[in-house]
Amino acid sequence: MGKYVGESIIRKDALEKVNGTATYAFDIDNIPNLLIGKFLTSPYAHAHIRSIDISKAEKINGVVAIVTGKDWPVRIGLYAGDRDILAVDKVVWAGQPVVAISAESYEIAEKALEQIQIEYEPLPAIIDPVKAKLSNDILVHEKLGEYEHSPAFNPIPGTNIANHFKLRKGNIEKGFKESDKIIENTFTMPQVAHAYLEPIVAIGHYKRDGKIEIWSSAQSPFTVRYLMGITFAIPTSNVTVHAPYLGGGFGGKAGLNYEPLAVLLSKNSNYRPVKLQLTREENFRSAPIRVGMVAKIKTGVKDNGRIIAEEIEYIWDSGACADYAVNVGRAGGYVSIGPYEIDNIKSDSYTLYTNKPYATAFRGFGHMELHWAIERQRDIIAKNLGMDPIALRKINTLKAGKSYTANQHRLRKDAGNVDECLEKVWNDLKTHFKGKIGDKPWLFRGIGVSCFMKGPAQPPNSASSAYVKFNEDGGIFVSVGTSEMGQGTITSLAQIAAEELSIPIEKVYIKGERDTDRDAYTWQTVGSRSLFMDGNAVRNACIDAKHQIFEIASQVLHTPPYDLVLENESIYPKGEPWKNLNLVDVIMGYMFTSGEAIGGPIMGHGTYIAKMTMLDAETGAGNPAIFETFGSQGVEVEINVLTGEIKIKRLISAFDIGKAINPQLCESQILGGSIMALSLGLNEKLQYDEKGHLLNPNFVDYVLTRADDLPDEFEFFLVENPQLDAPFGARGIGELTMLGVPAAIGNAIANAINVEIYDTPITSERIWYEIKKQRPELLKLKEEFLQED
Amino acid sequence: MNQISHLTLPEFKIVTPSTLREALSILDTNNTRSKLLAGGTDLLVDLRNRTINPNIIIDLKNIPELNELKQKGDIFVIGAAVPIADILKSKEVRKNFHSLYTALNEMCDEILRFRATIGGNLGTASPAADTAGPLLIHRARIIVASKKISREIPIQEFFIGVKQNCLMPNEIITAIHIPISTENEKSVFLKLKRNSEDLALIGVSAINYNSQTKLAFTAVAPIPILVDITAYISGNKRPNEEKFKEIWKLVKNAISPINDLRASREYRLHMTEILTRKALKEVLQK
Ligand SMILES: Cc1cc2nc3c(=O)[nH]c(=O)nc-3n(C[C@H](O)[C@H](O)[C@H](O)COP(=O)(O)OP(=O)(O)OC[C@H]3O[C@@H](n4cnc5c(N)ncnc54)[C@H](O)[C@@H]3O)c2cc1C
Repeated sequence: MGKYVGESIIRKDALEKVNGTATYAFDIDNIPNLLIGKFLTSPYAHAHIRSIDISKAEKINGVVAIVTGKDWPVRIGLYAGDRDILAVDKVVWAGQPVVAISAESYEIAEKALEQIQIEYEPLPAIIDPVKAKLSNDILVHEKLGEYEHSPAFNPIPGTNIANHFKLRKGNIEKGFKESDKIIENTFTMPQVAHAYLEPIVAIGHYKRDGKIEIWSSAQSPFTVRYLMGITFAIPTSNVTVHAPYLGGGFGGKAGLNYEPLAVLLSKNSNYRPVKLQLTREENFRSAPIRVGMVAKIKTGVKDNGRIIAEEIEYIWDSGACADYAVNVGRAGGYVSIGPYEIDNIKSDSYTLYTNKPYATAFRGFGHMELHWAIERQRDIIAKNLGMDPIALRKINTLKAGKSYTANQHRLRKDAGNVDECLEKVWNDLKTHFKGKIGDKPWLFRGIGVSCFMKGPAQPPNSASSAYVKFNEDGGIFVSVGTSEMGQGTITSLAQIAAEELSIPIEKVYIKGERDTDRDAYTWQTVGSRSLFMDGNAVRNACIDAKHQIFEIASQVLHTPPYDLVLENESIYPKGEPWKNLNLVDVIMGYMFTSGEAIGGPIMGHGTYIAKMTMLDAETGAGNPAIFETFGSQGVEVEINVLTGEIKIKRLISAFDIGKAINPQLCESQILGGSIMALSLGLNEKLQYDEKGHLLNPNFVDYVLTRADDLPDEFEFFLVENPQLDAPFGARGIGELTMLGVPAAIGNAIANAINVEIYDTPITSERIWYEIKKQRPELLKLKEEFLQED
Repeated sequence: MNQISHLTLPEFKIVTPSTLREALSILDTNNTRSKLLAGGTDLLVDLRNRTINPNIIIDLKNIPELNELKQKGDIFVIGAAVPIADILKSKEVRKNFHSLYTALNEMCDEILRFRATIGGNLGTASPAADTAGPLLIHRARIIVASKKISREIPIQEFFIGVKQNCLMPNEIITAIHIPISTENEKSVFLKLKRNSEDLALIGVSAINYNSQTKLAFTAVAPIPILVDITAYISGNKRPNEEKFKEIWKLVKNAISPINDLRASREYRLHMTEILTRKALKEVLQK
């Protein structure tokens, strides 16, 4: 197979991005009469708004409009409508926008914001998600019962529970009774920020004719269009969303964010367009973040290593609003146990409201968090049984055709193979590992692995479309709905088109910018779904175009369409390449020598729709995803037990992606994703004080991995067991590249020094603290350290 | 006051004197309303956050006296406005002041080092100032000028509180003078960071020269701390465990690390001890 599929074609957006001409929403300031927008946020995590006095600010020259929550009290959100555009009666997190302003310049806007007076009546705030679940004394949303939500979710009015997802299989009590050992642990991961390079930008234009035009750093322009229509009670078709290149998204720009506020400001600004552009601090405090997780796991296991029962409680700390986090809880719920088959399962996944910034999608969608817990638990079980952790996994891993993550649904026969990934990673780690003894007595080395799986968490009717349009020179323009935020999907989609139509890749044109009026529809750019979903749509569009081409060519070549071949820009009857017709002579309509013409400009269209089912509310049974990508990651670490410092020496990954459409893009994803996961695992955490104020809204104290902190060696393996209904067999990889890293690090630390870590980030201080608690004798080495050469 | 994350800077006038005299006289007449600007890596942050609100900003970068970088007899002169990236290019600094070189090489990040200066680092006088420890152990003198007089301040008298130094509002630091030791001198700077480009959670500097041994600590007390441990060291040799415990007791009494979001007091104390051990290892013989 494959002139283009399977090749490392240079990115379609490479030149523009390297020479700096690529346009991002941040760059757009050439819209006539553009005003700037700015908002004032709540200093309290939880408070009633007593009064808002804008009288002084209004009088400032250059202030065009000032809006408050009462100007458009519509609750917005993707799956749960639980967020005010501007706080209406009460504020639910410190950083929530309360008043917004449009002005002729930033200077004016900032000055005006200083003059606004808001009186609050502070309320006790709930910060800890575990407490938020246990007690209903403080409610983030008293009116939860009145909110609209998608039927797939189950909020519990009168509590802080935004969604409760249940997974049930077998008989959990019986399972524990038959177990030889029961192992219980709690693992946590804190809330984190997406830390994309480009802060959130939304330009809104509410026009006199009632139409809305938006330019936004949005991952999901079609969802923004749809929800904007609902928010402003106008037809979807009256909304146009432009999504230029994104400076990173990672899920943080997946939902509806600041578009409604920009449009509301515009509506009240004499229909002038308004640009909202968040500063980094505003982005930290007021834009969505990633959920935190508390996972309680109780596992029943036989002495031979077979896991027979697992009871789990996931608590997802969603902050003040849960529009996307309800689905994180749901996805985390149905994948609960990771890539294993266990006969008795009881899992409850709760998305909780707290008075903190609100959570949305984040690369991995709960799966990195849950695999941190599950994969640490697997190693701890192995240690308890005195068993090799690899052997323990292999006894329990999910195999094709077997019951799938407890959903009583069977895993496809052509699904990926987790064991194969695990073996590749483990063999590589083992071969290079020189043993636990480091160069110095206080340096210890260890290796650890983890396994994981993930598919796109999307609604069962999630759809994609594409069209392919030929130009006079035989080039094609491919239109898709998926956004380009650095992941490179548009290049792979171009390769699929070039392959299917057998035309040179240089002749395939595909844009990274989206325009919802002109581009083909896709549901969203999330969940590693685009290559699969939009890829199938592109392929179908090309097949459609090919049919049209053959229809014309058959009349010229006097050969039935089914006997024709399209190759290297010419069409000929099978076996007779010399009887060829040039593709360029067909694609705009064919003209006979007489001047009579047939056909017309070729434009193929294709669609694809998910093949899934709803999940049963009581048991979670059903088919949750169109594919699952399986993988494994491993690291070799070096620990300095005196300081807690950790060095990642090697980071190895393997994924069963079915087919690498573009191996180099896969490599970029693997490098980018595993470094991101490394940073999350080792450093990242949003820190709050007891009142819910964010303490580190900047990159000095929100610590990210830097270039000098990277592992010495990266290695990766692409396993290619194709999935038959995927475009050329390919499954998604984007999010997968992160999922196993934190757990592999935790497992490697345990391997090196026999110290168990239960919480991230795994900072040096945390490692030192756990050493002091679990193996204080190691710290004695400091005496030897002073005297050593 | 409403919390506003500013995109703009406040309004101010900027002047760019080309002589020290001119700068000093502008400062003298405007000293309560003006601010000095070197690399701006601290100043711009403060301006944007509105923690300062000057009417006039005096840019020091074009003043020749503040841009010297040379040896004068047995003194090495570093102009207050020389960018760190340029200081790092000096062979003399690298050769003579190992701890200072290391500190400068680890300060901020590569881009900021093209702008940041030692004058600015001392001007801010943060407890975590990375140059403070090395300057303390290397016996630096801060050369300061005002319209009327010039004076030399020994570095150990320079810091007086958290982000406070002993400069008068009409004074400018012109240069840092560091004696070049003829002795076989060994120095080291160690910095505890959360990633490879971080502010110091702890800075430990150590020097051994002419049978004297000194330690300096940053980020573990309101001001940088110098501790002379010559009395505990004999023959340029590392202390044994018992002696080290005495040294550590002395150090522990001199410092007062805090608990904050960057690290706990307990970890800071532990790591100060470990880094002190490491520093002594490097400047003393086995
Ligand atoms: C991202 C980031 C990372 C940083 N990392 C570090 C780090 O690792 N270690 C560290 O120590 N610091 C760090 N800093 C702080 C800062 O970069 C340093 O303090 C730097 O040395 C300041 O120098 P500057 O020339 O930029 O000073 P400026 O910002 O120009 O000035 C700082 C202050 O000193 C005053 N001043 C400047 N020159 C003089 C003079 N000649 N006489 C009297 N007063 C003067 C100014 O008025 C101002 O108050 C960091 C800053 C940032 C933004």
